[in-house]
Amino acid sequence: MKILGVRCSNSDYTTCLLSGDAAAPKVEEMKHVNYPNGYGEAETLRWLRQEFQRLCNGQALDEVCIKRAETNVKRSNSLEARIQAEAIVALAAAESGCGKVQRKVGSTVAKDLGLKGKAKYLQTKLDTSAIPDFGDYSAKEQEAILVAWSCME
Amino acid sequence: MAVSFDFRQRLGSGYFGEVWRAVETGLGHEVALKCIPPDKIVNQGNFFQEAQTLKASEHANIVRVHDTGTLADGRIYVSMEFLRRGSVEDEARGAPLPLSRAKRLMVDVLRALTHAHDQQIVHRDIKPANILIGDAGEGKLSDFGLALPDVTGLNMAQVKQYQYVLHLAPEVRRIQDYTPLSDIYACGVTLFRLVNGDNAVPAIPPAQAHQLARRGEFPPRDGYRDFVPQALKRMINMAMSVDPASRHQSAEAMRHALEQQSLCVDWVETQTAGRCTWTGHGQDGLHYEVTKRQQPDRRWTVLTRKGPTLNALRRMGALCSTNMRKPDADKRARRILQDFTKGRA
Repeated sequence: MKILGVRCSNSDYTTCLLSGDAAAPKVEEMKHVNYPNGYGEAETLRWLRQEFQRLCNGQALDEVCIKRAETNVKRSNSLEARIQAEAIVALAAAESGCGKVQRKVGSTVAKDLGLKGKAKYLQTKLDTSAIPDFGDYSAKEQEAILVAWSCME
Repeated sequence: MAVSFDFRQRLGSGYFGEVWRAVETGLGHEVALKCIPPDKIVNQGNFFQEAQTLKASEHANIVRVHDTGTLADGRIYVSMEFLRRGSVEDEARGAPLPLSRAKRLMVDVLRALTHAHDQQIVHRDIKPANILIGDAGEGKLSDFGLALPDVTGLNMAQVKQYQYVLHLAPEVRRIQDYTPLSDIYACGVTLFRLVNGDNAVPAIPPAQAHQLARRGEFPPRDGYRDFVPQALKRMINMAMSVDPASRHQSAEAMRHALEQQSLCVDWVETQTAGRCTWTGHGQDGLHYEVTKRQQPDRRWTVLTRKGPTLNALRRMGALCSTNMRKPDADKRARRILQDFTKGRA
């Protein structure tokens, strides 16, 4: 099974293409891309859509799973921009023929990975030995991996 | 019934044949019709190669192909979407394009190229004349006449006539030498021409240009306009590296590098004797003017102004200097221009 895990922010996006199954996931490709400089809000969204159309096209993805902004984020402007970005990713994935697109917060990711539903357990209690060199990935890359892993059967 | 066209206007002609604006009489829609005499076809084994390649590489930033076939006079035709805004060469007419415009067009071309390279198609002929402009102002890559998936059994005499030496990567001596990295080189030269204008590229015989290109001296790396920021110069020079391994390793990598460039002001340069003026329009909606002029005592002055309109420019005291030597004035003006361009001033 092939799952694309996505972690958007207001300045970049990180994707992880995970294959295999829940017991033995394999990181096929990891990508971290900064948003273009000097683009307006609408142009950035268009750019993001083109990026994900390219990422999703021809990959035969089973699912795209987006790490959602946590609901306790207080800065409303940046939260809104991130939600827009997540919506665009979901749209581009659907346009590219990916039938299943999900958005998950940290607690849901934890629950789907067999922990109790608290996001902090992802750092403290999750056994990541199934993914080689997991600790070497950046925080955003780890989130992209985990969100994809949480969708695996 | 055979397809027929009503030829309306000749848009251009070249070694390969002609391109016409025509109306396809069946559906009544306008098309750009490329008509190629059979002896000018590069791949004599497949007269319809170009149209087939275009069809195989369909993308929003690649010109769309409708049909191909043979005209009554025996010429091969390729019917493509007609783009009334013409090519980037028509738009620039040898002058530098505004930096943000050049960036957008090149981003579009690199997106198209990424798609083509994904399909194992090397374009081999990237230049401003082969970048058409869509109705929304987007760049669309065209002319896939040399974009052949298989280069064995080609009419090499035709290939040589067709090749555009100015953008030819130094490592390319035969058509078999082309790789996606030669397309990256051609994109670098194209971007160099777009941001600097054609007078930054010396008019020398093609053979000499190719020889200089092998030494990394053509196009001249010191030929950049004063307002082009260092980061953009480095990026273009990297794409034009003599060693393919030193270039961006994919069209996507080059696109991402270009997208990271901060180009906040578009400049127009006007030069007269003893005076050079750059007028800029920023993304912040403000207008800028930087003037470098010679004083009567042969020393130099740099004057900077900005304002909401060109008629309401106000002097920026901190960015004005007088009584300078020419090299100092050049350096000062360049620094001010680049700082504005990067949005740092």
